[in-house]
Amino acid sequence: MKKNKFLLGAGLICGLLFAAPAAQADTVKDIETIAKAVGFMNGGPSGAVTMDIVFDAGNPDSVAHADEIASLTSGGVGSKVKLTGNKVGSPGGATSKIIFVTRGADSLYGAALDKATANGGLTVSTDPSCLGSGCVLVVQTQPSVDILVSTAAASKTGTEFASAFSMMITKK
Amino acid sequence: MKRFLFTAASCAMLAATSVPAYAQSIDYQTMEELFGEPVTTSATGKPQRMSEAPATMEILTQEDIRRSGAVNLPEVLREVNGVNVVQRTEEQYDVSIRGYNQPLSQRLLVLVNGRQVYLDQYGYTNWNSIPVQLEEIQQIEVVKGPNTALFGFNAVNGVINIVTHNPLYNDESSAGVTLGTGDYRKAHYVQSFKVNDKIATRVSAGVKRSNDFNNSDNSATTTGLTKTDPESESLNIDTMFQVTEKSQLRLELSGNSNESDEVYFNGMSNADYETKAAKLSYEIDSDWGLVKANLYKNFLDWKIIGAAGTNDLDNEVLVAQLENTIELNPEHTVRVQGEYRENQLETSLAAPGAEISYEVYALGGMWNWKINDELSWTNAARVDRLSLDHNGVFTAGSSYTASDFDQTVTEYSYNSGFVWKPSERDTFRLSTGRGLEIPSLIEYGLDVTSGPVYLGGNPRLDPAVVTNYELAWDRKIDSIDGLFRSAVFYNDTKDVKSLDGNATSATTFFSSNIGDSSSYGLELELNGKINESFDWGIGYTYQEIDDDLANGKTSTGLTTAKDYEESNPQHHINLSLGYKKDRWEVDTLFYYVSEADQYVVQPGSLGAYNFETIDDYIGANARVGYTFDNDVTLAVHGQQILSSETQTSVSPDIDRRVFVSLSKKF
Repeated sequence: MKKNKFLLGAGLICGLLFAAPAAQADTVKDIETIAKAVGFMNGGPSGAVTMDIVFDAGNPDSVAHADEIASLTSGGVGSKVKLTGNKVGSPGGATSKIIFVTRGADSLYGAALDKATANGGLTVSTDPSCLGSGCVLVVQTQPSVDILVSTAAASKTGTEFASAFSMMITKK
Repeated sequence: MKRFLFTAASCAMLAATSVPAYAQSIDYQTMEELFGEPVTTSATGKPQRMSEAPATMEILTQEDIRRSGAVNLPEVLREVNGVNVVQRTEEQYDVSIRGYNQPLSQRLLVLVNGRQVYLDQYGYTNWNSIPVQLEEIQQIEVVKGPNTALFGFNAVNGVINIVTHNPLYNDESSAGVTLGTGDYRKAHYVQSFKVNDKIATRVSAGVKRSNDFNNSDNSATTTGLTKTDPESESLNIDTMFQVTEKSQLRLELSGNSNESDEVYFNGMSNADYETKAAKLSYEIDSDWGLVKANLYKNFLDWKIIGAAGTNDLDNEVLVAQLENTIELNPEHTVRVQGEYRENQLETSLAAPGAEISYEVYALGGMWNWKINDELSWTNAARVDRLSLDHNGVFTAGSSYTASDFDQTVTEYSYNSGFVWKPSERDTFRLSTGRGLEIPSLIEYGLDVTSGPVYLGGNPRLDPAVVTNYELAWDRKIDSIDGLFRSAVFYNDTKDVKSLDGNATSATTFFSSNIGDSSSYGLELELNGKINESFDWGIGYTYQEIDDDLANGKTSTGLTTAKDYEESNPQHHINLSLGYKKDRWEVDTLFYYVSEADQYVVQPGSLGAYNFETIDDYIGANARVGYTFDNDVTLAVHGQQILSSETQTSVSPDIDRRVFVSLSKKF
């Protein structure tokens, strides 16, 4: 019993010390950046576009991120491409060309990428760890705007961008 | 059935008019909003964020232009650190980058959407001839240092590329009136039409009238001159066609007519300019890269009335360009370019019926290597081959024959630069460049006798070659929401040219190369914001020039009209303050220019120029603007507002000007 309590306490302390830093909240600017980037896709969608939000229902952080994105996009974000979020949970439920993959959804990366390929679109996120294995495009807007594209993931989904835009983003 | 047909027709129309948002020509507005900073192709030819360009450059946005309160392009450029602006008359300005400013400065290349607008007869820019309204400018890109490898001849101290709104991406229209002191009257009208998503056009027009400065000071330059009150009219038609999903065609037609007083090395004259231009551009995002083709022709009719009489000139320039920029892989982007240029001149400054001309064939390339996430390296090189020609007779005073003009000049130019970003906040640039200032057609082929004096060109003139070395550092400073910028540079110029550099007698002068000049300098700049309403900036430049010129210089004057080291102010300081809240905008630019000795021709003589000290001076431009409902803006603005008269050159003093403007966007 004492040993169990000790282990529990040590685990809690370790969790506090080494807990992942609280993720910086996404803003409308992040979604606007995604919308503008989608606008430079060759053969990409335009106008009002549904963005399916894929998340891991068993991960609270992933669920929270999904709620955050859905809230930010509830009224539509963007102009030439206007994204409205739609929480779908697992990639199997995604029907849109634009699939947003939340933080903490690494178990869904492969499936999300496959579904985006099947839908003729791409996966996007604001979580850099998604780039490559799960996401074609990741945006960061702090401290400055950086748009990252995984060439391998883009090749899988068949995603191409207008040359002028492609020359100004970071490809990995 | 009717409903079905109507629905089918509607769907067909919608399908025809809705076009995926491809952007072959750069949608500068969207890109700036996307990346949070302006984007440009003016540094390397490859689309880049300004912070990643391997050249020290500034980009002025439409908001910067509006808030400057400027009524012309040179006054807009005055706020850029390192840009030297000298106003000589109401409409004549000389603008240079990093010193070397002279009357009819030849060291700056000025473009509108990639089309040269500097005048090829002598290689200078008549800013009043540029046929765009300030309101239709998307951004002005200022590149410092030689860039001949990308843009061609005369990009030796820098390049200014004026980018106008693309009618397919921006359908803003506006109209406005400006009234000011000195009987200043200006009206502009910009109308954009978007037929559908595939065809859009913008028509702009402007008219301007005013009195010239009427000061009697420095009258040596105005001897024998009947002063002209300046006036100008311009028209610009810009049409874009989305030909396919991945290609666009752009047609630009423009015309400008203006007259004003101008200062030349031999005194002041009335100058009358008529310019016309037609440009066709085609861009396609192809499997082989971003391919662009440009074809344009500039026409110039120029008449000058001076103490020595009236002269006129017809100049035509034809330019054809083809380039392809291709991203080989994420690390390597290359660009190849070819250019053909034909430049022709007929003038009363040569024998009747004589035509001086040259053809240029150029080939160049650029390679950008993204070495890693922090470091990139860009190299560009270009070879230009110029073939000179003369058709027709020579005057009795000339010692040349047609065979003297069978000259061929082959020169190379290059740019190389590293950009190192060791952190999110720091950017270092190390660069070098070699640029070429070729002789103008007048310098090659001048052949005129005026009274006892003969002025002749020189078909064997060498191009001036400018080599530049530069180290720059930019750092973002979060605590002031701003940016610190710094640069140190050294450049040297070989084979400086002068129109009267070779005096074979007291009354006979020929163009010649007269020696070398070198310069080193420092640029510092700090800008920041205080909450969302206030912004500020301070800039300082220091430059030292050392001439080694055969210009007959003594402590009191020159025998050849070319001097840089005495006439270049060593210190420039700019201080800008801005306030923007709700509907109000208040902006001020203070500038300080240190003392310099400029040269002025002695009345009635050529080959004798006296130095005149231009004391240091402080000037200020300011604007207060208020925007009402329905996008109507009322602004009170002015230039040189600190003093009723300021001497800025050997020309008559510059008057204070105050304006009131009313404009509406729709």
